Amino acid sequence: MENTNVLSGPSGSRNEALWMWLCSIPEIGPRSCRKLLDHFENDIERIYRADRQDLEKVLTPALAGRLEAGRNDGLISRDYEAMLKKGIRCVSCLDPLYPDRLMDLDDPPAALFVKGRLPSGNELSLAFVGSRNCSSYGLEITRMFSRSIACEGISVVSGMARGIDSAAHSGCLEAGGRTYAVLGCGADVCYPRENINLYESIPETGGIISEFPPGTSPLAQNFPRRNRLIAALAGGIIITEARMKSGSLITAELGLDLGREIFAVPGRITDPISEGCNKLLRDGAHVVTCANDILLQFGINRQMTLPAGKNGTGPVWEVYRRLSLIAKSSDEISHETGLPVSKVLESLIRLEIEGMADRIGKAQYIVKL
Amino acid sequence: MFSTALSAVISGLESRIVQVEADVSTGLPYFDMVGYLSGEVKEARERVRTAVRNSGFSLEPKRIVINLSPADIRKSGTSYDLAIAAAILSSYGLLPQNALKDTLLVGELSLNGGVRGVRGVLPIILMARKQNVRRCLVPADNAFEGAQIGGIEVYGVHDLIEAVGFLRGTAEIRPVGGGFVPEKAEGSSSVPDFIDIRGQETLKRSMEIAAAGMHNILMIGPPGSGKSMAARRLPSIMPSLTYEERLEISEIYSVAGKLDPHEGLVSERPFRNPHHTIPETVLAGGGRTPEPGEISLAHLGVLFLDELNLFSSKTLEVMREPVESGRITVSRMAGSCEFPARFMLVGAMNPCRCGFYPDMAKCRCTPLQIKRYLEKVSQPLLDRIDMIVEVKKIPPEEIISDSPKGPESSADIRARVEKARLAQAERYKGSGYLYNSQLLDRDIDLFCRLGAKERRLAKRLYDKFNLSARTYRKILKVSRTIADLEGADEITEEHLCEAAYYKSLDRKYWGGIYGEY
Repeated sequence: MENTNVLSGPSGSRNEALWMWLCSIPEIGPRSCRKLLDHFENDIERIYRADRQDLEKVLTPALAGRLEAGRNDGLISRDYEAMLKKGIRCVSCLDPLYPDRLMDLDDPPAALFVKGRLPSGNELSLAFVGSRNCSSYGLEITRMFSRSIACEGISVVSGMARGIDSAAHSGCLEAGGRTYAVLGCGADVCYPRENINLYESIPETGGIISEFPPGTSPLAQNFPRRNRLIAALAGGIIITEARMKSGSLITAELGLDLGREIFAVPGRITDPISEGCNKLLRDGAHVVTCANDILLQFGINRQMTLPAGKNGTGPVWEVYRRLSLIAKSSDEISHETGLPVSKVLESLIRLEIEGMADRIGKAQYIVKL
Repeated sequence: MFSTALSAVISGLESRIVQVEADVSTGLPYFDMVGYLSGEVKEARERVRTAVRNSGFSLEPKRIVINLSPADIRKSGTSYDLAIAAAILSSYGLLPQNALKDTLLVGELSLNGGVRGVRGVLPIILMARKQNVRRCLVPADNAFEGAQIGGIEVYGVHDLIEAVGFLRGTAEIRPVGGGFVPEKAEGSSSVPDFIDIRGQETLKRSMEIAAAGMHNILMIGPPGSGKSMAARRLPSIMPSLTYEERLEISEIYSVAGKLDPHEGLVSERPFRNPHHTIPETVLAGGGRTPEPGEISLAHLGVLFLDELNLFSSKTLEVMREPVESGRITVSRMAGSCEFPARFMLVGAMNPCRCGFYPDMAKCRCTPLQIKRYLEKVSQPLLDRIDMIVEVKKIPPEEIISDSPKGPESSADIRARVEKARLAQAERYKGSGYLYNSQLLDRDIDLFCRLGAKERRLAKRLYDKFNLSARTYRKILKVSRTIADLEGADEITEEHLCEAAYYKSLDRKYWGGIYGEY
């Protein structure tokens, strides 16, 4: 039977399948796994074969029962085959590929499910966290920072959520960098769905990582666990736009406990979406005003280059000089420049064609970096 | 004895002559009416009999038969009463038959013999003039409707006695006509003025363009940013109505029973502002005997749909056809009829439920909520909107501005709009078009010709904004209007760019909330 082949096949795949099995048992979390591994001296085979009595030395009877119930060679090899077909591998904590940084956690996942690759031991990486519901300003600077640090060969870790996360991933991909998305659902689930493009392109150079078995839905309780992986996986965490009570802030605090560098992008003091960042700054996080602020912490010194040619004449340039990263409406620009609205509108469209300005909403423009 | 009188049936805006035939003969007392009549017409029997008696005519009990011919057209309404009464009186010999010759009578009778106003008098008079009817007797309440139509005598009567006296030639009624209805004094217009709006230059500019080319426009902005305020002022910058336009609009209002006796013909551009709970039959027109709906009442004027996305989708989809064709066909069991509905569609909506998107510091809607909110406006409807403009709240410094140059008045803007309309009239002479927005796809290349430089720019716009062919043509039409406003013969790059601004990026709102992320 093809089904039993995996478990009776080469010991490598058998091992991987058993790890997958262990991590897929509901209610057996990282801590229970740790206890099992300690008791059975890191031997997955022994866990699989252990009798009830032995198991109950470590686990509660209910959990032991669950573990026993899941022992089904046929099912396991079927699930394993399905996982491989989706391009997902299961990397155990004993595997040399398993990121060392995760071992800083109290409860490192027993195994990771990954589509693509995992960050290697000496890979410099930075995590971007921030609001899903962020401003255009937040999106644009996250993209810019992500692009700049990707250019320096630093990889970008984030959660592939809407808003800041997506901007971080796409900024990195634009610069041809390597980026990792840590998900709160199975590595085979694209959530949110509109990020399907990111989901497809991230594994080409980086990886989609999850501690949840394939097929897991994006449940709310998964995300705090996902956040701790993001905090642990990267060497530093950049927070752009976080509200006062937000997952981003919790991630930052987790990162602090793990000894990661915390960077925060200051926001206006009146903006509720930047309140969290400003609090971090008050508490001593690094201030980020340009990509160089981050790079310096990694011992890289670069001067940011500004977009060329800010000094032409004529209405188009006059309009261009009024644009900033804060969205402005055509009325405001017309007011500031004294140009008639029709001229301003024309100039804005020209700038947009040239890729020098970007439209946020319908009538508000920002410069494009 | 047999006699006939003339009246008229109206279906939609179409009316035609109805012969009211009365025959009075000896026999058992009897009164019946035939001729495919609806309930209210049959009830005329009681009204007429009583009104005639109460007017002092005594009718011997005889056998009376009334036929309304042509007998194969469904007749409804109460406007035949007067003609029926006249025909009966003539049959009894109380009125000479030749007094009814070439005389069209409409009006409802009340039991005491008074003549009450009815709907649709204006189209009836217009039809009668075409049919070479010499004179019309209409209720005094509706006499003003005939006041400004030459070529036919129109008399307003107050009661049956007056009508009979007039027909016998014993009483005199002055025909209504020129000057009967006091014209509104210039400047007494009740339409609000653009001078009230401070700031919002982009909005005003787009309104000017929209008015000049009759382009449909959608405003998106937070509550209190002045969307409705601007829409209400739109009629004030549209060219004043010509006599033909006033007649055209008044006909519809006459049929709908919405003409104001103190105003005469409609003198201001219609501005209709139906609430978003309106059912589709009221918007499009309908009823057992079709009546014009809001879109027809907005003919040649503005149909303002506030909170566009809160209208039921069924209601909105109803407008798709009239927006394209300028007409609406209402089909009912009693027959189908067509109403004109060439209006300018002005929509307004909030960008999200709380109204603050894309200001994320204030907006707390989730991306999904925003998407759902916007998706209520369907793509086919969006495709029929030429311009979209985002309205922002006016910053306080503009409200409390001390600049000596106040906002422009509607009259100034209207002067430019009229110039642009003139340019369009000149260009489309003999082609059947009136405004740029009406241009059909096949004629766009002919009337919106681009130079080589402009074509290159258009190509870049096309690529950059990923335009659809339909959107591109909308941009061309709007740029033609912008050029007309400037008095330019050729569309230049500036015009194209500005037009692109108003149309290119529905996608920002309706294509993924965060653009490409």
